[in-house]
Formats: sequence, C-alpha cells, structure tokens
Amino acid sequence: MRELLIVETRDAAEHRGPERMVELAAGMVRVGVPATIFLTENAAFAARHRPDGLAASAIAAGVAVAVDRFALHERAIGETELESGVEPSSIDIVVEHLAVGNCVMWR
Amino acid sequence: MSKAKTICFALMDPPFEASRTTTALRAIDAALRLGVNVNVFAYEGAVMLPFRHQQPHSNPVHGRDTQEEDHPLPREWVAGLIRTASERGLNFEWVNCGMCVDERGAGDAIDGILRGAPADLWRLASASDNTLIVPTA
Repeated sequence: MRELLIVETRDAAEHRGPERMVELAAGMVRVGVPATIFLTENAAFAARHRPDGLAASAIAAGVAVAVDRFALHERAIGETELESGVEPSSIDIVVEHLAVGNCVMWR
Repeated sequence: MSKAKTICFALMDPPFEASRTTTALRAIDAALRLGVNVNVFAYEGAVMLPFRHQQPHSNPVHGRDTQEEDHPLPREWVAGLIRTASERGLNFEWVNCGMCVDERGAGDAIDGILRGAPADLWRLASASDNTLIVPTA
C-alpha cells in the first residue's frame, strides 16, 4: 500500500469509530505507510482545537489531518478554531488519492 | 494528472436520507472537474438517486411555495454529472443494480442511466484505476 486516506464522516462525540480510525492510521504510520484522515460531514467538529482531541492525537502520532472546507462552512466552524496542523482542504483530496492508486477508506 | 484516469464509485445510500449522498456526489463532481473518467455502480437505495419522478415540493410550514423552496433533487444532480462529463469529453457510466431497481420499482430513471447486475461492480472496478466504496452509515 502506497498511502492510506481515511474519509471520516462520523462525529467523534457520538461514535467510537473515529477513535479507532486514528488508531488504525497511527498503526499504518508506525509500519511505514503514510496516512491521512480527511474529516468531513459531522467529523469536521473534531478538527477544532482540543488538547486531548482526536485531531491532536492523530497529528502527534504522525498522521496528516485534513478537514473539508465545505463541512466547516456548513457548521460555521472558522479556520481559526482548528487544531494546529489540521489542513483545510477541498474534497479534491479524495480524488487525488484515488487517482494515484492510494487506498481510500470511507467511514 | 497528465493521463486521464478512471475511478469507480459504489454508492449504496438512498436519496433524501444521509449526508454521505451529497458528499459522494461532490466527490464524483470533483473527479470530473479534475479530468477523471468516472464509473458509478449504484445499489440498494442508491438506485433511487436518478429516479425520474422525483418532484420538488412547497414548504407550508415555512410559508414557501415550490419555487421559493427550491427543493434540491438528486436526479438533477446526477443529470448535472452526466452533463459535466459530456462537456469535458470524459467517460461517465452509471449502472443501477437491476435487482435493487426491481425491488423498489425504480426502473424509470433519467436518460443516461444503465441497468445492470451485481457483476457490473466487478466489471466497472476492473476497468478503473481505483475504486471507492461508499458504504451506508
């Protein structure tokens, strides 16, 4: 596997799944596979700054974290509220990963 | 992306229910705008996405007539994808699972939608550079 992109749609405050996805992405990084989590829909809430939050945990583990600007706008989340290191992105990121043959998981 | 790639999307969710339908259609639109050919295999509730008889409605609670409400229709979004692909000279193949269509009486789809079988997911994925399964929530 060249790289892994996880498209996370679930709100981390309501589901345990996003936490598991951070563990999976961190594990992939540990074995040498670059991993990115793209937060969209209600998962965008997890992009906000919180010292013990999902985004901070992922970034500390070497996982790249991107968030859907569209989802931020829908939820009135400003980019100044984001965890340091979270990259606002368009949904093009999904296509770009698919087009180069990366593994993309939609959760 | 110098050489035109082809990406296959498998959609499962019905229209008017989940955010992921909108997100998935945004991803398909992005692929076309980035010059990528697209294959779509729609199964289960997703076969209703291009259903021809979807109709907009008014919103009496908010006092808006049909035109003011401007209710979005997934069949128009799918038609927009077909139009975008055509304008850009890209291949766009949308196959509805025939069994799923029959279960739901969804046979009357907009122009450009093909009827197929579960094996078409294999055919479309095999003919693509990569595949994204968009599962139901």
